[in-house]
Amino acid sequence: MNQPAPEILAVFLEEALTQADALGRAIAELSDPRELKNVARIVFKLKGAAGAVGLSSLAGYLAELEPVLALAEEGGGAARLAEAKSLLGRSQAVLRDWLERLRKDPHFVPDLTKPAPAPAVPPRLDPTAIGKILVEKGEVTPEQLDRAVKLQNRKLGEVMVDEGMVSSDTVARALAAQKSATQRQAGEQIRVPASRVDALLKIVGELSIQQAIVWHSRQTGTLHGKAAQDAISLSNKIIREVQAQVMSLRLQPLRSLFQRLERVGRDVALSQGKKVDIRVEGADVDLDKAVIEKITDSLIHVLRNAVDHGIEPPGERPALGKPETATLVISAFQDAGDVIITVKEDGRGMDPQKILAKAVEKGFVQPSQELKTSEILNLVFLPGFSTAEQVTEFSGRGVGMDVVNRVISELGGAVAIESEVGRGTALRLSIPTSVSLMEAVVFVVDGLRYVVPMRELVEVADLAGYRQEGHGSRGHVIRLRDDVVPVERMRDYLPRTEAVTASEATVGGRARIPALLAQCEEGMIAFEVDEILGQQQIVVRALTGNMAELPGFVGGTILGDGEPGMIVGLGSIARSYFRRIRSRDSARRSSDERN
Amino acid sequence: MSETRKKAGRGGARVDWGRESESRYLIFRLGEELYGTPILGVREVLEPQAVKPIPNAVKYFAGVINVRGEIVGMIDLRVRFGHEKVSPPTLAFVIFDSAVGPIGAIVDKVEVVTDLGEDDIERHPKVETEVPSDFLIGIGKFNDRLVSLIDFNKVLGAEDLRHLRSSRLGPVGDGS
Repeated sequence: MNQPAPEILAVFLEEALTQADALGRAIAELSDPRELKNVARIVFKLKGAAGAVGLSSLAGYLAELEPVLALAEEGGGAARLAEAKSLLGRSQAVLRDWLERLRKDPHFVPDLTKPAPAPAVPPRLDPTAIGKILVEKGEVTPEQLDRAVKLQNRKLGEVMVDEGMVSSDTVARALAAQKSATQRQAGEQIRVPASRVDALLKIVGELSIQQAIVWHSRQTGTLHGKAAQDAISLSNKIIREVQAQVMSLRLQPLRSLFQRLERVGRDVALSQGKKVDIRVEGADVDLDKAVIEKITDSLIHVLRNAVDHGIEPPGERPALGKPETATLVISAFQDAGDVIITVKEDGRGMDPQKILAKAVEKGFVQPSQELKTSEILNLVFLPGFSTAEQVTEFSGRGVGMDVVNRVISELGGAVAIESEVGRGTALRLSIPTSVSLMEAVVFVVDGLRYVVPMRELVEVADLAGYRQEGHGSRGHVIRLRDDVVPVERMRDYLPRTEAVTASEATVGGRARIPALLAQCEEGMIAFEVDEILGQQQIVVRALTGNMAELPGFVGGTILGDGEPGMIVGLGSIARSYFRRIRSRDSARRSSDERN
Repeated sequence: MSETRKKAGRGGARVDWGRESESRYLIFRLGEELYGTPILGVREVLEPQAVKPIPNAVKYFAGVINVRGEIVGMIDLRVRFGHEKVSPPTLAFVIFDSAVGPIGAIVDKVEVVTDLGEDDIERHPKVETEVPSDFLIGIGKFNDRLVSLIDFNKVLGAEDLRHLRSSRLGPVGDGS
């Protein structure tokens, strides 16, 4: 049969993915052979739909499930039902993967002769393992191995440039083309209840009535009259309402994501022979569809880690006085403008001493530095902290944690770890519900206005009220309650291309020295600015194309007077400070060693 | 420029607004030089307005403007092509549709929109230009003058706007 038209395929996939999730739910809830009817109904529906749009191989695959269902329905006791349940579960995973792949490649057909792509643990092969053997045998030197590993991890474009196949310009242009192609692909669809659309229509109708009043007042010259003023303030209210309603159209319950996580957890546990009771709470909490898609991979990673490294190997638990079956809770709840997702297990926990030792060894912290336990745990978020070696050495949670952290902070959220040795670990992700509307603080540097999202700010302080201690060549610090906080000038991070003369004189002798305080994994930092203008709600506009790569900015917005304002990524600027300090420290250390 | 002069200048070529849009070019001026760009890559031409400067960007990146709620980056083509900077720009803003989104260029003056037939264009000339040679369409003849025909929408979409030292945010001369 012919390939379906892209629009038809898109509609089918949207519906089919919902059905696949329902199927997963139905399979998970199976406890009685009579309930197999629910499963059969969904399979039948999907098969019909797949056939109707011309996906004959998909329809064929689903048809093969029918004998399984029939057989299980005949009876045969709990054993047969459990067998059917596991088989159906695997098929559902294949189906879901198939549908996801069809989204990207309409011609995709999986190779079903191979065993199903078990979504279990990734092979825990140390990438250098073969290298290590070669070094031990004396076949290669450690330096050669290093070079080879680096080559292996490089991007295709870089390799081609070095090999003289293409110029770097060509690669850069190809990358730009690739990027724009992926952006264009965003023909995503959202399913919306009709009632929400009706509600929206109603308030938009109200809006046009208010607008008509304003228009009429302008014609009659009574714009300052009460009727017009009322209409204007009412319009403001209605527009906020419209904004909130439209935003809510993008919201989706976390249910299907949580189902996937549950499945991943079960699969990992099964493959390692661990007994884990996975519980899900708050699957009804809504989150922006785009946000859900962005965090999916990170959360799968977190879950794998939790079962793989967090929970003790089978047999170890009873000896520790813990129940043999471990408990893992995936939960979500709404907290003001954020959704908090927590993954918590009662495994062995993370040992701060081991993490600290590792961090010292890697040069991330000085041996003399005193750190709180929470600060130590946060070290695992540092890029480059986790290594393959660490996985085997101790209950390393660090694998890819820097990636999880980056994804969440790009969305404007935050990750926190709580862990107690022997008691377990909890990972808390707070994610903003909406990515496009946020509270922000407007500030001035060198005569230009910038915006910083409220949630990136820890607090706003007036440095005039603190004593700024000199700190050698390292600039200034202030003591804020119990913390020593470095002070940096924002103008050094946002330098104007052209020389600015006017505001330069205002630096010394000001009555107030406003500063923005940010917190990142490495600590707190204060950025001195010229002026803070106030707080306002902003609509975030993505920076298009090559502007997106400008460092220090996470987006743009239109300020109240129509002037564009850039949204400053305070966290990324803070990180660049700590990175610089760290590289300077290590440079200094190595020069000390030479002397 | 009047329609009649334009016709005369092109040696009597047909003006057909409906078709041949592929051979239509927007001709603009930078200093004494004339440049042409395919009209299909141009989204709109705007009156000059205040440009908000952006730190950590290359010198020829003038900043951003607000185009009906959209934030559009502006490249000062005078500076980009080695002319002296004129400040404030009292000229014309040409907004291009590039593959990665809208991007604007500040030019001295928009001359005209005109048809250039194959006879008026010399393809693949062996000349050195400010842009990668794959973006140079050719050299066109217009009013007895030579016009560099460049795919500006592609050129501007591929520019790297980051300032050289901006891979390290922070105080200059620090960290050494």
